[in-house]
Amino acid sequence: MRSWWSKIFGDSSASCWFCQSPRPRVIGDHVWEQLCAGCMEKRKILAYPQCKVCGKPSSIDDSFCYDCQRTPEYERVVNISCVEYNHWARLVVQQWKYRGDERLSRPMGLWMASLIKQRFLSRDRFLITYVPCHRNRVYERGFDQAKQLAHIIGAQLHVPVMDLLVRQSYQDQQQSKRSREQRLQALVGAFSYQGKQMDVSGQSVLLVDDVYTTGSTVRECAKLLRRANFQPVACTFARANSEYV
Amino acid sequence: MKQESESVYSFWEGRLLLDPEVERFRTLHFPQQSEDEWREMIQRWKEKNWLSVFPAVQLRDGRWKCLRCGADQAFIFFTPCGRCERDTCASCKHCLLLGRARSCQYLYQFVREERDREQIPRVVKPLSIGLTAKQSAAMQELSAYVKQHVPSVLFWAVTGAGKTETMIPVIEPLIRQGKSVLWCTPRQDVVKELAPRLKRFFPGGIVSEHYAGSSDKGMLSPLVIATAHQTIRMAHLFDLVIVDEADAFPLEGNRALEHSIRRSKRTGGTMILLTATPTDSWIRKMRKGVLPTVLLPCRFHGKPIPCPIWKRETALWRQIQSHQMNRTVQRIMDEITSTDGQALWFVPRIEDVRVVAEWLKKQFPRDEGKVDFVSSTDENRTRKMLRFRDGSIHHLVATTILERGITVPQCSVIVLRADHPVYDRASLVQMAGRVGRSLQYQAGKVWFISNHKTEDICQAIREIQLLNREACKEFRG
Repeated sequence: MRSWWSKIFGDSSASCWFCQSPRPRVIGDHVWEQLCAGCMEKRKILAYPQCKVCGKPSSIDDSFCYDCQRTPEYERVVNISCVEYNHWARLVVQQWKYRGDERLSRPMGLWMASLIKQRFLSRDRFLITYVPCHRNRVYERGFDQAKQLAHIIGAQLHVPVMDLLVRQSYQDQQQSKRSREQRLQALVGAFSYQGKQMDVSGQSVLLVDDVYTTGSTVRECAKLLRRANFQPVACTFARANSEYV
Repeated sequence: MKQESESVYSFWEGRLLLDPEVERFRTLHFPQQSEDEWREMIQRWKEKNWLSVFPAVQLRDGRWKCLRCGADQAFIFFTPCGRCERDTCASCKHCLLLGRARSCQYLYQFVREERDREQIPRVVKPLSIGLTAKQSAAMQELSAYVKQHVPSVLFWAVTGAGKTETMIPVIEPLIRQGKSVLWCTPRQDVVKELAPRLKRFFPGGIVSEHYAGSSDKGMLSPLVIATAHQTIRMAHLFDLVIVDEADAFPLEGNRALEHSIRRSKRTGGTMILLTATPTDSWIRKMRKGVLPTVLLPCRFHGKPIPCPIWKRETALWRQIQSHQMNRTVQRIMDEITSTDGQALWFVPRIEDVRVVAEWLKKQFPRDEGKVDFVSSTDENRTRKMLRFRDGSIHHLVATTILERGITVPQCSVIVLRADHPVYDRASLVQMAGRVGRSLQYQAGKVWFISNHKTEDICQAIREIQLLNREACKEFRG
C-alpha cells in the first residue's frame, strides 16, 4: 500500500544522515534535526554555560575552565564544537575516519558551518584552514578528513579555504590512542607553516578539525598561525568532556 | 622450502583480502617473514594459479562492479582519492563496513580450483543428542541431500522445532571426514549465542567465530560460525554452508550478500537454508520442485503453535498518547498476571518503545518495576534481555529486533499496531513463534492489536493454521 501512496504523494520519509535508518522528513530542517530518533537521543549538544575559551561545559558560569587557566594566555584558542564526544560521536567519527565513510563529512561539515555562522562570521576578513594529515596517513585512508570538512564549510559560507599548514612527523600510533602527556610531547614540531609570508595582520583564520580532546593539536597549530600574524579561532565537530578522554 | 610454502599457503587458503588486510595479517601472523620472501612466494603462487590479484572495484562491460562483495553500479560512488591521486576513484558503498574497497586497491584471492583443501580428519566426541522421531527423519533427509551434492536445500522448520539440534548430526560426519562447514547467520548476537553451544559438541579448536571485532577472525577452522558480512572475506572454501534465518533482515533481497555466501561455498558443496518463514519466491520454487525442501512442521514437544488472536482497537494509540486506560490491554494484563507469565510487547517504531513503556508503568502501578524497553539502538540491550530471560523483568517493550532468536519459557506476545507496514507476514509469524516454546508452560497467547486487518495479518494467521494442520497430519500418520 505504501508504494502507490508514495508514488502519488511523494515519499514522506528520508534517511538519517548518520545511520541511514528512516526518519520523518520535515521541510526546512537544520542538519542536526535531520537525524533518526535513535541518533537524536544519543547525540549530546554541548550545554551552556561553557568555558569562554575552549567551549567546555561547566556547571557554574562562563568563566575559564581549569584547563584554560593552566595554559598561558597567549596560547589560548577560542574553540567551538557541535557535539560532545560521547559513545555516539565516537562511533560516527570511527566510521567516518577509519572505515572511510566519506558520505558523513557532508552532514558534519554543514553542522559545523551553521555553528560558525552563528558565532564567528561577524568577523571581517575571514579565512578557513585545517589541521592537516600526514601524506602517509592520507595514502592509508584515501582522504584528508579535516580538509574535506574545511572545503564543505568554505563552500557553504562562501569563505576561501587555504592550505596553510603541513604535517611533518608521521607517527605509527594514532593521536586518539595516546594519553594526555604523550600527546603533548608528540606534537612538538609536528606541524610547519607553508603559506606565503603576506600582510595579514589581524586577519581571522578558522582552524577546522574533527575532535577536540585536550586541545593540544589546535594550540600547536594556532601557535604557528599566530607567528604568521593571523588571529586563529577553532571549530571542531566533537569535543571531549573530561571523563571521556 | 616447498614444505614451508605449503604450510604458509594453508593459512591463506580460501581468503579474499584487500591490500591492507593482507598487510595486517602478515605483521600479525608472519612477523619474521621478509619482504623479498613474501614477494617471491606470491610470484610462485601466481604461477601455480593458486593466487589471483585484481583491482577490487572494476569497470566491466561499461558497468562498475565491486568484485569483493559483488555489488553492482548502484552501490559504487566516486570520490577524489588520496591514494591514487586521481579525481575520481570508485569505491563500494556496500562493503564499506569491512574496510573500503577502491578501484586503486588490489584484491588477493587465494583459491586453488583444481585441488581440494587438505582434509584432516578430526576426532569428535560421540554425540548425545536425543532427537525426536520427526527431527531425526528430517536429519536423515538432509544428510542424504548433502551426500548427493545438491546445491541448495530449504529446511523449513517451525519456530521452536529445534533447528540447531537437528543440524548438529548433519555437520558431524563432515567434520569427522575433515571437510569444512560454515554456519552463517544474519546477526552478531546469534553468533555469540550459538558458538558456546556448538563448542560443547565440537571441542578443541574446531569451532571459530567470526564477527566484527571477534578475536579468532584470524583462523579458518573446520567449523566457522560467521555473520553474513564476514563471508565477504572467504571464497570457495566450504563443503557445507548453513544459512541460519535465511529470510531475516540483511540477507533477504540483498543480492550482494547472497552472492558472497554462494561464493564461499565450494563447487559441489551444499547450501542449506534454515528458516521458519520462507519467502514467497522460495515457496513458489518449492511447489515447482526446483528447490528440494525438508519440512519440519511440529515443535519438539509436539504441541501446536498458539494461533494469534486479532483484536480491533481503534482508540488504542490515542489512549496511549493521552495516558488513558484501555480495556483490552487491561484484560490481557490480568490474564498474564493470573497465569504468572511474562509478556513481550512489540511496537513498530523505535520512538514508540519508550512511550509505551511509560504508559504501561503508569497504568499498572503494581508492575511498575517490572516494565522495561529495548530497541536496536540501546547500548545495554543484552543486559536487559538477560534480565527478561531470568524473570526479573516481566514486561518488555521492544521493536522487531527481538522477533527472532529469543526463547523465554513463560512468554506471551502482544503486537501493538499490527497493521503497520514494518510488520510483514514473516515477522508476524516469527513474533507469534516466541510463545509456548516450553512444554511446561502452554498458557501463553498471542494478540495482534490494530485498527485494520491487513493482508499480512491474515496471511500470518493462515500460515500458522496451515503448519499446525500439517503437524497434526504427521502425528496421525
